[in-house]
Amino acid sequence: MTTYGRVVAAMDLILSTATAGELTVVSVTGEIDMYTAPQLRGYLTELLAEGVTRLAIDVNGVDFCDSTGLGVFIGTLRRLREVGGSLIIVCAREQMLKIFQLTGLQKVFDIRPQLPTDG
Amino acid sequence: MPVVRFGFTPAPVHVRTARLVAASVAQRAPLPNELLSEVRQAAGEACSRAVARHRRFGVRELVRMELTIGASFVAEVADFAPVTRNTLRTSAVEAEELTGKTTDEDTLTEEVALALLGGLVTDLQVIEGRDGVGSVVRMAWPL
Repeated sequence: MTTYGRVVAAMDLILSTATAGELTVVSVTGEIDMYTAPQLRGYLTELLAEGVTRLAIDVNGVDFCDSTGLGVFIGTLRRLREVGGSLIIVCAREQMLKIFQLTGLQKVFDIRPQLPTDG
Repeated sequence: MPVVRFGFTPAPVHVRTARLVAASVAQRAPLPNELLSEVRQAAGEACSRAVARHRRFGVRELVRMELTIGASFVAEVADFAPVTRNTLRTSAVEAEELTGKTTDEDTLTEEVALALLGGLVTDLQVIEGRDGVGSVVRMAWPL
């Protein structure tokens, strides 16, 4: 995986972008809540505006995520679907998987424990 | 019965403090360690919901959280935004519907928060506030 994008660290959230084959991979570290979610939303919106359509969001570095964080993922999925794109959530953390299960969103998102090797 | 009350300006930055207060009081109750992260998440969801509702309706009053230690640990989060029949429910729309609908950010937060609360808290109520103003999310965990 090669890092090509910017690394943004502010407000307890660290965001970085890399590529893995045709996938653009955004790694998120920190807490995603009502305070930090706008930063994540802005970052992803900018990537999509640049033409990214095959996106993976790696949340294995996320310590806490609330409904606003899930809302950002839902919004991103909607926008990608509109342009025929795809979204993979890379997640192996039990705490994060639990909130996807509790909301039924595990049926909606393509959640994988690690990045697909075929890119 | 020991009671802790906490009020905050409806701003996202204070939700983090609110959930830490809830988890800290729950620890003193004492709730078992394995439930503390649920309390932290649930209190945060209830507070995020309240902040989103205040923001949507332009309500500047403080969001109120009251934590009571009795036969159960009870967390109540009160907002003062207008209430419709749709507000007072404990079940959210289906996940598939959330991803299909075009809803504004605060409405989406409210729906997902409700879905999470419903999954996290067995004893959950969303009731009308005192004097018919706003709504209260009431969550209880037996001690």
